[in-house]
Amino acid sequence: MKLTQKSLKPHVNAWIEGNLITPEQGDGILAKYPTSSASPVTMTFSIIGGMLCILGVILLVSANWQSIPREAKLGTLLGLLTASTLLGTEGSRRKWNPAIPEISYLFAAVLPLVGLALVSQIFNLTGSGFALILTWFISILFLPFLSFSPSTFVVWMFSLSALVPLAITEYHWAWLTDEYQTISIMYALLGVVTAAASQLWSKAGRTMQRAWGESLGLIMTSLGLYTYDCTTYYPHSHFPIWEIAWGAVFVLNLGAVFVGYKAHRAPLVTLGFVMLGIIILSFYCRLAGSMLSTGMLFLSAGTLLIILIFTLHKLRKSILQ
Amino acid sequence: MKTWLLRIILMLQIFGLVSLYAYHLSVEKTGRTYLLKAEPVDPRDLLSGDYVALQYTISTLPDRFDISGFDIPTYVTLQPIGTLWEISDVNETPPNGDVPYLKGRASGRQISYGIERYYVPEGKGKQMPRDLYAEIVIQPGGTAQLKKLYSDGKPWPR
Repeated sequence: MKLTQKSLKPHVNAWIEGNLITPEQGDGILAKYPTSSASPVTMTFSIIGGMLCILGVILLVSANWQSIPREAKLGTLLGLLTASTLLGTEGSRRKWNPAIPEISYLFAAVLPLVGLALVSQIFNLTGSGFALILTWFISILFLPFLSFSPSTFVVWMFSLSALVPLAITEYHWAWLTDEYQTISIMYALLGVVTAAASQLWSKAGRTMQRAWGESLGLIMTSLGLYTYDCTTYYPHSHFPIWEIAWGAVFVLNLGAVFVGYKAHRAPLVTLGFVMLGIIILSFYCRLAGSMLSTGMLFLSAGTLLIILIFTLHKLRKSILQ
Repeated sequence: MKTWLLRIILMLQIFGLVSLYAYHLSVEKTGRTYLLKAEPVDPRDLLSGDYVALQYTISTLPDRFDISGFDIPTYVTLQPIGTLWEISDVNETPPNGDVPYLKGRASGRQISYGIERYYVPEGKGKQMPRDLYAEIVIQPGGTAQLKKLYSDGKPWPR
């Protein structure tokens, strides 16, 4: 159970009465903990429910009911946006169940994109996807840092990472061999920057956002390097460097496990082990794929997967203990 | 302080969306309209729903003009042929004088003008008439906005 001011208060009061600590020290201890906490199950299902509602709003908008006046459609959307932001701020201020401001801020982060899509639909605009996502990103630029909502930060990260492939493909920025390799490297760099910049959340005492930033950064860098040499066209002169790229992903995730172990960050250890398992299995399938018959490949890969899962799970458990 | 900043962001978001709406509404209401011949196909957009993808007679560069390259800014001057408007001239710079022109991007012999989508209610894009005409509005600078589609002289979809 997560420690909160509510759950700690009786114990702190008992310590003060027993003259173990002074009232000032008691206040200092309580100040280090959040006032209340929603259970992870409540929070998870609330966010899933919120996401389903957002998808519902998107599908209602995309159904394009022409019997509804367009001003009414825009007004309803702006009303929803206003209500979600106000509910989020009031919920945080009045210390309601944390799931309520969380869902509200999730709506506040996604609805500007729905609004832009609605205006595009009303006036039949065929614009650039990059301009659409950039406008959305700018409109929610400060939202995660003012609301301190983890789900808003995740939405913010998704919009930022969507900008990379859109910018490269729309403006044809091919700094490397082609646009796809440029996207891979840009993702790998963005992942490193994200993981590093997420450490700043520690200063605000927001470990959830830091964990999300580290995890998304690790996934982005790993995926960027993993897909770097996965080009469908192989010219004769092409020097395959997938072994180096995949090796780099392996070392990177080994590093993530080590950092997670040292800094007591369980999500980083778990994610690092998952990535290590994927890389080991991928290496095996790519190397053995041309040597074995299909039946043997399935059999050996399945056995390897089972061994990997048990070994990595045991390792993870011993590290986290 | 934090709450006030969030409210300011909310007001900016609302202002941005309302301004975008008002800008395109003013273009639609005040701009001069032109009728183009169009041909439809039928895809779907994840966020905005069903739309008819349109190909105009002015989307293909006539043989007498030559623009080589990919994604080249192109200015297409229009001339009336009956009630419809067709290509009169194609340049890489805006034309002089008070002639109607569209700003597009040419890739090979195809030109796109940003008016290639017409959003329709869900499922309505499946029965598309072949004789479609698009009413467009042209802003100063040649940027076009698609206003309405017509079939048999009546707005489509009905």
